[in-house]
Amino acid sequence: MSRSHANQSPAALPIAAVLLVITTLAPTALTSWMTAFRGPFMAFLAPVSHPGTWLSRRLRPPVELETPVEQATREQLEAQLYELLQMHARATRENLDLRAMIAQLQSGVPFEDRSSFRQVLASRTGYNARAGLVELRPGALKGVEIGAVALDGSTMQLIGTVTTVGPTTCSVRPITDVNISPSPIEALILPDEPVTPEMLAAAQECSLEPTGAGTLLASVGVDPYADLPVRAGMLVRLNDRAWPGNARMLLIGEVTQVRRTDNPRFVDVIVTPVREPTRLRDVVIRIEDRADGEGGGP
Amino acid sequence: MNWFVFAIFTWLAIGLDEGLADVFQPFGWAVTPSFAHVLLVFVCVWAPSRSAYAAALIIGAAQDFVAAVPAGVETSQDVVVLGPHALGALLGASLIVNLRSVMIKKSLVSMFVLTFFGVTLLEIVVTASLSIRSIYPNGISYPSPSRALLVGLGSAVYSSLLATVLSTPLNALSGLFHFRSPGPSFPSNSRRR
Repeated sequence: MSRSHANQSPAALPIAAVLLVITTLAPTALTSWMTAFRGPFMAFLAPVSHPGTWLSRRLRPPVELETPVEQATREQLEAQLYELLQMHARATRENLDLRAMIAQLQSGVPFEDRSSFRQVLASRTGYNARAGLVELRPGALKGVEIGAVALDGSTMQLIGTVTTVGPTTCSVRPITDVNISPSPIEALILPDEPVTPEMLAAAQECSLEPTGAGTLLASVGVDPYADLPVRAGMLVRLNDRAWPGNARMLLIGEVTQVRRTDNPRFVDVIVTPVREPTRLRDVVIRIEDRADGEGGGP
Repeated sequence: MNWFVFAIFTWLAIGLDEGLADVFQPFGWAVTPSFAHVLLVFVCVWAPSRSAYAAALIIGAAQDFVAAVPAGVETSQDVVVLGPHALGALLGASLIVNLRSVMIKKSLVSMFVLTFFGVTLLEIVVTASLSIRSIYPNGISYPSPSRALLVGLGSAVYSSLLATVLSTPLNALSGLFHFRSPGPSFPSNSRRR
């Protein structure tokens, strides 16, 4: 049994190589069915990779921008604060959107569909840096679907979007990965305080692109004769219609560096996620509740 | 070769790549060492050539399933492309099988050199394959092949360092694999009874 069975079928290896060349070069429409086997395969790897992630967090604790909290109660309070800030920003944004919709309705333009969402708690079972994918559990059996949004439950920070789903596992492409889609990510730069409609109206818009080193970069137009409208410490929130509605105003990260460029009318803004998206132990997956949306509004 | 032991080691290596490799990530870059690549080189150094090629196809195919790629710029879905890593591993294995006759198998330097050249060839094949595939309409999204190649070369160096570290324990465990002598240039050692 342990003898090399390849000796018994000398044609097997060339045939396998030819088949692999075909599957490598065939159009995606012909080979996409193979993706269905990825979920079970990742579930098969999870008994090894999941303890590995536990060990990796102990060998190299994840970097956090905030000052480490000393007490559990303070951590809980901070989590509540971040959640409330996000809810407040989102409500304020929706308020402005509703005003815009009313204006659209008056001229006969249809309303945007506003669906609700449900949340699933997921734990990280692995991370493939080369592919840029964070592996999570659970998967389709818990309702996770492609296009759902992953976020850090304590800081309400956007982690990424679900790109493949298996029965018990799913993978998330982080916002810091160079292959994130849609890209660039449209965002607003806001002060680190509760958002008001005035602040939203005056917020600096930016288009973020991953740098490939765990950060995002935006080139922001500025008045060369005025003070910079962006400074380190400001928060960056998602404001992109290409993303699901429930992800709007989620925290993307914090401005950690503002660099002058050769062109005095532009500065480069470096945005660093508050929590490393690839090294979180647990994340929350937000799934759009389609049934609720199809049920129709008032 | 004992394929059951090989399957267990492959499962462990790819699982460790998923779970542990980010510990070694420098400055947030995607450069990481690969336990699976080290296992591939180890098998290619010791096993008969046809077994080494078969093992390379298995490890490469497993890596293809793990490394899904974006299906396109306008979609957030990823797809599995079966082939790039498997073909790269096959070519890398053939290079190692051809080079091993002029190397001292238990030498750490040999392990470093063979891993570097084998994994570098693998990464070149992967980058080239995905680049070609991204040219099609409705193909995959592969925005920066040059960057991917640089990351791949960095990972090859990193995997080579890991290979030198793991070389001694793997050689100690080589008896479990029941490798047969890969060629007449390698006299049978004391493991064979």
